[in-house]
Parts: sequence; C-alpha cells; structure tokens
Amino acid sequence: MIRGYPESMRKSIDKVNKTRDKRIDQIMKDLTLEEREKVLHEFHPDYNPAYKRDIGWGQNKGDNVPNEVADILESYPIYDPDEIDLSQIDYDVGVLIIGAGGAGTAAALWTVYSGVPKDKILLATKLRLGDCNTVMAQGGIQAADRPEDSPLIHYLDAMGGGHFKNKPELVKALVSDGPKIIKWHKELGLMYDQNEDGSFVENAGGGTSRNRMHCAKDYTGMEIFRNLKDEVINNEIPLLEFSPAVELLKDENGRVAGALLYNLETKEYSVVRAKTTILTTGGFGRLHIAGFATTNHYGATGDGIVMAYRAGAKLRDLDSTQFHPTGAAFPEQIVGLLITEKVRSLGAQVLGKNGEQICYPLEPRDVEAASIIKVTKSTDNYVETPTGMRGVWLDSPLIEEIRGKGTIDKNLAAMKRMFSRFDIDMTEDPILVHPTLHYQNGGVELDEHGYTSVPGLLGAGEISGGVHGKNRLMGNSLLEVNVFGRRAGITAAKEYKRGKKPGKLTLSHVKKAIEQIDTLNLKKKRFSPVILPEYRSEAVRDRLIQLFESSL
Amino acid sequence: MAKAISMREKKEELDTVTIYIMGQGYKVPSSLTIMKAMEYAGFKLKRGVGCRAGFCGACATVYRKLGDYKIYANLACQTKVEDGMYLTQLPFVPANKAEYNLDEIKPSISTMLRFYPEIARCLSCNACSRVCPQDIQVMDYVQYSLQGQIDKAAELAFDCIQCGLCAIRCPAEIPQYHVATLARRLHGRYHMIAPDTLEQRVKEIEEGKYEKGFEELMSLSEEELKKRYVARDFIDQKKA
Amino acid sequence: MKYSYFPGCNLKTNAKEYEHTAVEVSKILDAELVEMPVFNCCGTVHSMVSDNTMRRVAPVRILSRSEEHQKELEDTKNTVVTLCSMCSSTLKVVNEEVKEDEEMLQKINWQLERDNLKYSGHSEVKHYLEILRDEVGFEEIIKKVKKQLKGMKIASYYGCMLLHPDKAKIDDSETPTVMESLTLALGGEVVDWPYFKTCCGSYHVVDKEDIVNNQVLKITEGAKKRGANAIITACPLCAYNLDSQQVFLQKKGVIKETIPVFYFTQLMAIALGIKLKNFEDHHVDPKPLLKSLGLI
Repeated sequence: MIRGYPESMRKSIDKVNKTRDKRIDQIMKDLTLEEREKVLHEFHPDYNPAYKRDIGWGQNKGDNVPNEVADILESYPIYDPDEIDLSQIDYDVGVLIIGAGGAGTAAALWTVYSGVPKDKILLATKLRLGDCNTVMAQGGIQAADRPEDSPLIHYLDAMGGGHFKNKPELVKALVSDGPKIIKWHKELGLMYDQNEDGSFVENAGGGTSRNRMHCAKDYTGMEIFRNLKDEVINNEIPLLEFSPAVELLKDENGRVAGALLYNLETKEYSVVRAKTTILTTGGFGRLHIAGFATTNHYGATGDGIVMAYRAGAKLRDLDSTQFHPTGAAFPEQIVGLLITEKVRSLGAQVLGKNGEQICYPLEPRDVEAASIIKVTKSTDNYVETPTGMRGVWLDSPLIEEIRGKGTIDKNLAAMKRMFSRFDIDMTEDPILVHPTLHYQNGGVELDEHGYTSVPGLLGAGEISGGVHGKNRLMGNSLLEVNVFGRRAGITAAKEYKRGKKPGKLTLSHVKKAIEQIDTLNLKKKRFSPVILPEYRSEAVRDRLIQLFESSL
Repeated sequence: MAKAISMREKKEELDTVTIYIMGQGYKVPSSLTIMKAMEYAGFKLKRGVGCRAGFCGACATVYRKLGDYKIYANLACQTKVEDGMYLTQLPFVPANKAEYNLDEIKPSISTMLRFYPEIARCLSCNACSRVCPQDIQVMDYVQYSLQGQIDKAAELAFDCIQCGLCAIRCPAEIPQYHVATLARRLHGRYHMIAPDTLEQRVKEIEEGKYEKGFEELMSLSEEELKKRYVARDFIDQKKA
Repeated sequence: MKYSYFPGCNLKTNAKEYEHTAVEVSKILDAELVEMPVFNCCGTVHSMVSDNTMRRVAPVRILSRSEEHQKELEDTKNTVVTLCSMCSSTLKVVNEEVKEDEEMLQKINWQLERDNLKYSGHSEVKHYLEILRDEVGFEEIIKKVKKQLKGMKIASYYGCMLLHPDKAKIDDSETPTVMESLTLALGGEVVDWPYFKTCCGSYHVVDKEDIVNNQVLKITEGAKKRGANAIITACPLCAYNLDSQQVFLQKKGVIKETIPVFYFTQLMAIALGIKLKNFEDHHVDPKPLLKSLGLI
C-alpha cells in the first residue's frame, strides 16, 4: 500500500495527477434532455425491468416498484394480531409522531409551537433520538433567498430534476417555505457558513440554476439536527427511544388512531392511542434496492410504507429510487458511504482510469449516476479495486487547485477525516467512487398540509412521495424534512384543537390485508416491517434458536 | 486469554484476526470494521449502531490492544479490526444536558457557568481531546468557554458528533459535548447574524409576491414547462 | 522584543480594558505582549498539597505551550508574561516547584506526552510589572510619556498575590516599590498608605459578600484618608471587588464618596498618549476625575 492505495491503483492515480493541470479549464458539456433520457434508459437501475415487479394487492395494485419494495408490501405482520390486547391503552395522546429524525423532530417542535400541550405529544422512534439520515446529510439545504434567485426558479429546477412528475402543490410549498426555514434555523442558532460580508455561503448543486445550497461545512444535516434535538429536550417533549412502531392502529370509523409500538430491549408491545398520527419514519435504503450498497442509516428499512399501505394510504413514485452518483468504492470498509455532491460543487471532475473526464460533473443525480454506471458496465475505462469493486475517479485535489489550499479542510472536513482514517489524503490523491443507493424518491402521497389519503394520518420527510417526482435534487431533502415536518406539526395542532376523540381501537385493517396477501399464494412467507436489516454471517444465522421466548 | 477455536473456525480460509468482544474471543475477517466484525461474529446490533458512516455518534467503542497499556477509543463503524483487540461498546453515555430558552440567554461566560458550572472544575488534563474520534481539541473549547470566548469554543467544537466519549473520560465530570452545543447555539444565534436579504425574501413570500408566478407556472402543460426549464439561465455557477 | 503572553480567563471577560491597554502600551515600549495561540486556565489557586501532581498539570501545560510559542516568536526570551496576579502567582509557584523536583516534572510530562508536549523546566514566569521594571526600565518609560499624570494622587494596591508566597513575589513583600516607581515615572503623585496588601476578600465575593464589603471599606476609606484620588491595581479580581463593592456600599449609605479604581496599564496608556476605548467596565465612573485633571 502506498499512501492508502495498492500499487495496482497507483498507476492510474499517477495519470490522474499528471493530467490535472491540463484539465483545470476543460469544461464538459452537459447532456441535452434527449441524451439524458438515453443514458437513463440504458443504465439507470430504475429502468431495468429485472429489478422490478408489480405490486400484487391493495390501493396501488399493479404499480411497478423495485422487488424489495414489493417484497415488504407483500408480507405478513411480524406479530399475531390476535395476540394483541388493544383494550389496554398505554399512552393516550393528542399527537403521536413516529420517527425522531429530521422530519419527526421538526414536526414535534411545531406541534408544541402551535399550542399543543407537551404532555399530549409522544415522539416514538426505532433507535435513538437522531438516528436518522438527516444527520448524515452533508452537502446542504436549498433555499432561494438571494436577490438573483426566486422561489419560482427553485420551483423550475425541482420540477425539471423530478422529470416534471412532481406534485406541483408540494413543490410550491417546498420552495416557498425555504427562506422561512432558514430564518427559523438562525433563530435556533444554526451556524450556516457565511462569507466575510455576512452573506450566506451558497453553492451550486446538480441540476440547480442558481447557487442556493446553504451549508454548515460538510456537517449540514448534523448541524441542523443537533439544534432540533437540543430544542426537543429543552421543550421536554415526551420521547420513547428503541420503540419502533410495528403497525398503525385505526378506530372503528376507519381513522388512523395511534400505533402499536415494540420495545426492542424488553420485547414487549405497547398501545398508543392518538387523535393524529404523523408518520416520519424515513426511507428504505437498508433494503438494498437492486443489490446496491447504501449511504443510509441502519434503521432505514421502509417500515413506514408498509404500515401506511396496510392502513390504506396511497403510495406514489416508488418506481424511482435515487442512486447517488458518488458513493465510496474504496477502501472496502467504507464502500457505499456518501461522498457528498459538494465535492463536485466545489470543482472536482469525474474521471476514467486514464485521467480523462467522462461526464459533466453536475448533471441531475440520476443522469450523473447512469453516466458512471455506463462507464463501469459497458466500457473498460473504470478502475478495479483488489476486491473486484469497480469505480471511477473523483478528482478531489482539483478543488484546491481551483480554490486554493485549505479549501478541503474548511469545507469538507468530514470527508477528509473519513478517508484519512484509511491513510488516504484526498487533497493529494483522487478518491474512487461508484453510485450508491441514496434516497427513496417516492412514498406515501401527501397534500401540502401533510395529510395522507387516510384520515388521521399525516406524513413528512423521506416517507412521503410527490415532492421530488422521479428524482430529488441535492439539498431538497434537508429542506423537505423541515418544510413538511413543520407543516405536519401545524396541521396536527389544528386537528388536536378540533378535538375528535378516537373511537375503539382495531387491527381489522391488518386482518383484511392478511386476507389479501393470502390470495397471492406467495412461495416464501415474508414478514414486515423489517425494523432492522440482517447483517449477521450466514454461519451464525444457520444456528439461531429461540430459547427464552419459546419456553414461556 | 486464550481463545477456544471451534471446528468451524478451523476450517475458515479467510484472512482472519482474533478480537475479543466484551472479553469473548471471535475470529473475524481482517478487512472488517469493528461494527461489521461484531455482526459477522453474530451480534444483531441495537445499541452501539446508527448511521454506520461516522456521523451519528452511536458506536463509541473503547479498546485496548494486546501488550499495549494505552486505552483507545474510536467509532466502531470507522475503525478496522486489529488482531488482539479487546473491545466494548458504550451502549449509552449518561450526561446531563441543561435546559434553557435560547431567546433569554446571552453569549457570555456567565451563561456557560450558569448551565454548566462544572466546566470550572477542568483540570486541563486533556483526556477528552485524546479520546475524541473527531480529533477535536475538546479541552481547549472547554477552556474557551471558561474564558467567555464563545465564538472560538463554537468553531473548535463544530465537528462534534456527540458520541460522549469525552464525558466518560473526564475526571472533572464535565459533559463537554453538551457544553459545545450551548456554545455553538449561542454563537450561531447571537454572533452569526443572517443577512438582510433573507428577511426580505421571507417578507416578499408572505406578502404574496410570487403567487401570480406560481399560478402561471402551475397552469403550464408538461411540454410548456419543459421549454421553460431548458431555457433557464444559469447564474454564478463557477464563483460559488 | 516580543514576549509570549498568557492571558488567563479573566482578561478575556471582566478585564478586557486591562488587556487592551497593556498590549497597546507594550507596543510603544517595544516589549510587545504576543498572545499564546491556545491556552488553558492556570488552575487559579496553586495546590498547597505537595503530592497533588494532577493539580499541577494545568500550569505546566501552559508553560510547555508557551515554550512552543516562544519557538515561533523572533527576538524573544524564555519568558511567559502574565497580567493577572492570580495567574502570575500560580504559574510562578508551580514553575519553581517543578524546577526543584525533577521527579514531579517527569510525572507531569508523562501526562503531557500524548499531546506531544514537554516542559523543559527552563522558562521564567514574569508579571508584566517585572518586565517594565527589570527589562524596559522606568527611565525608558519616562522618555515615552506624552502627558504627565499631574494631580493624580495614586494609592498603589498590590493585594496578596503579587507579594506572596515567597516563590511568587515580584517585589519586597513588606515594602514594595514597583507600582510607586511607575507612578512617579508617569508624573503622578505617590500616596503612602498602610493597606497596600490587605486582602480584598477575593472569591468570597461569590458567596460571602459581607467579608468583601468590610475589606473594601477598610481599603478604600484608608486610601481616601491619605489623600488619594485614585487606586491602581494589577489584578482583575482585586479591581472588580474594590470597584463594584464601593458602589454597593454607597447605595447602602455606608459611604458617601467613592474613589475610582484603575489598572496600572490604563494610566500608562493615558500617559503614553493612547486613546482609551471606553470605561464601560468601571463601576465607579473615573471620567469626572480624569476630566477635571485634563487627562481626557
């Protein structure tokens, strides 16, 4: 190993380092809409029928989705509905929020701000407060606050990025609330990067026509979440950690009226009754769609889609999945982890094995990812690691050639630290990348107030569908969790004040779902929600037995 | 401690190392991180696991190496296993967080001391900085807080992922990472003032300045919208 | 000449004007105070327990960091300069202790080892007053004076820490002269008085304010009786106590007249022609006095 790379990869790195001066002014042309369509159809996993099938039952029957999504929808509950005693209510609240990530905490705070007494709120989450993808978002948050920008331009960028399949009212809400969210964040004390004249540092992102990416070094999501979390504690919002929801509960009027929680540590269930339930459980990265590695958090197993679907909520746009163009491809220990788009925003080019550019670095994400997959799948212009992983170079040292020494330290501290742990200095050598599973573009359909199609159920964040259409732009997800978390909180508070008390709790909707799943005659009986992915070695799994529970 | 080797392990042909998880030995592939090695060994993780990418601070792990007196700490998801590692994860770090209303406090030394009087107990031993997986100079930001240099404390503590290792090692029992949160929030709120353009834009939106524009854009057909999209002008892409 | 300057905590908060004037004055006198890039608390009160090594880590860390700082400075000495007399006392005592006890220094250096720090034992700790007296010299100061402090009758208040314990004293502990000599150099009038090292009450101001009230009453009344119209000090805590408690006593009706309290560097700044930022940190307003004497 020489400075973190094996000799076999060093040869290619030398070529990259030698061609840098020549490349510094070379700008690749971006693709036309037609060229984009072509590369997407040929190389993007979304367009590969082998990875997908139609949903077999329910309100979205016939929708074509990734196999892994169809699998969890066509699954039985992980508990026996007949064993659950719904007459004994453990928590009787006004607003139940399921999932304490970015959207959930924003929703909880705005529920409080909107006048719901804190003892009438319950925030329940699978792991810890803040175990979520929000803390991992590095690049930034979009908000059109510069004079040369406007919410209308932001709207156009987002619609185009989503291939014009976004739900317009949601996009309008997203872009209109952007500046408001930044203002709120400043009141909370967020340390957004600022220039010397006091203006915000705002970068470009893939598919944006203005610089509107606000950032806090490359810890933007972390910085947002640290503040929201601090406020949740300061506001004394009741919290249940290590308590994932395993099912939504309804009342006899068909309204969602709470949830069934499961304590991961004591293994007991508890019953929550709520006037309004907000679903903020995040996305499905850990289902490893199409076999891809993922940037996502351990708990991102798509539980929310399953629960909402069984409760009758309409889903949309789940046919499209976001593969981030640049996941780490080397070293093996960090394969799949996110290399923020900011690396490209700051000037890094995408290169083949001989050090020549292979595509315009700031295409919308799906196009950029497909362009890279094209190189690794259909050409020999890729670099192969000792373990057989294919990737292309991201020329990070170019950033400091363009912007001066110290730029990476200042703007990409997290990234630099991650590589330096494996002896790689990204200011001196390029880094190897390959697309990685990043984001659930679609999900539970919402309206601009946060309502789903089922009464009593609201949603916000990555669980939702419609905001991003078929592809999300960088920086619109941190914005989304805040905008729709806030809106869901405000709506829930209104519902709370209207004062409809939930009726008798029931799981009859789940029993009906089971009947439908029975008709599918599945070869293999599956169970969902998944709760946590399975990473134990096969040798261990072969020998598992249930000792204590079965002796009861 | 000598590790018992099972028949299965004897058959393994992989390049393996032996690590001791809470005292119990396991043979695991040498290329794994501590976290993946624990899973390989058969642990289904609930505590001590989170984002798996070095951001969430859930997987703080303490270890010693065979024949080395030093105590090490790092994130399980970002650290490669080594032969003879004795490790345990911290499932949770008990550390009190003060409650405050940011609107009612000022960025001053008295605020820091009011909510975290224990910072005055700092012995300057620097055990906190040495244990920090983010290489933050933790002691120095505690000291900056004591000096009332909130801005410097906030900047220095910026990369904190709140894993809590500092608080566990501190002989003065300071919850450093909570002190850091307070410093950052004070600095972000009271020193880093947002530009006027932000407030102006918020006002414009609230006054409905863009409503007509939205109405028009939203009435366009997909084809018309595409034309608008393609015709967009790009401003300021290079300068950033 | 440049000196590695250790500010300590108070100079950054309660005694900003002390630091500002000291640094400005130091530039004029070509004995410039250059702040250490990073520093920790001195430990506040040196440990009286002989085997409490841990308590000595903080001051030795400062000494070792200053040595690193000294390497970066051109034209400097192996000296750490302080302004706060508490810091001065703590650092001096510990410095002497580790110089005398190699084993203790070794133990502490083992603590610093993992931070890539090591204290050689070869630095000197000096209070800025010592630098003025021994290295700049009062003659030199007289040459730089632009405005004599005519009419200022100054009681020099040393407090405890500049004169005690022996390892830390900067002057004769019974008949100190450094502040008086400075007063004369600046063209002020020296007031001879008995309370120059009576304790101000120190940290009791936090929880037993009545002790501090009594001490301050004694000290300030004593100064006024001897005809002083100003008190100078070299310690942020002394200054705070003497200054703030007079206002308290006045409100309670215990005293009628107050007497302004200055850091010696503030008066140096006036005499050397430096425009003072403000007097916001003062409790007793010094402006009427300075105006009446034509000094501002």
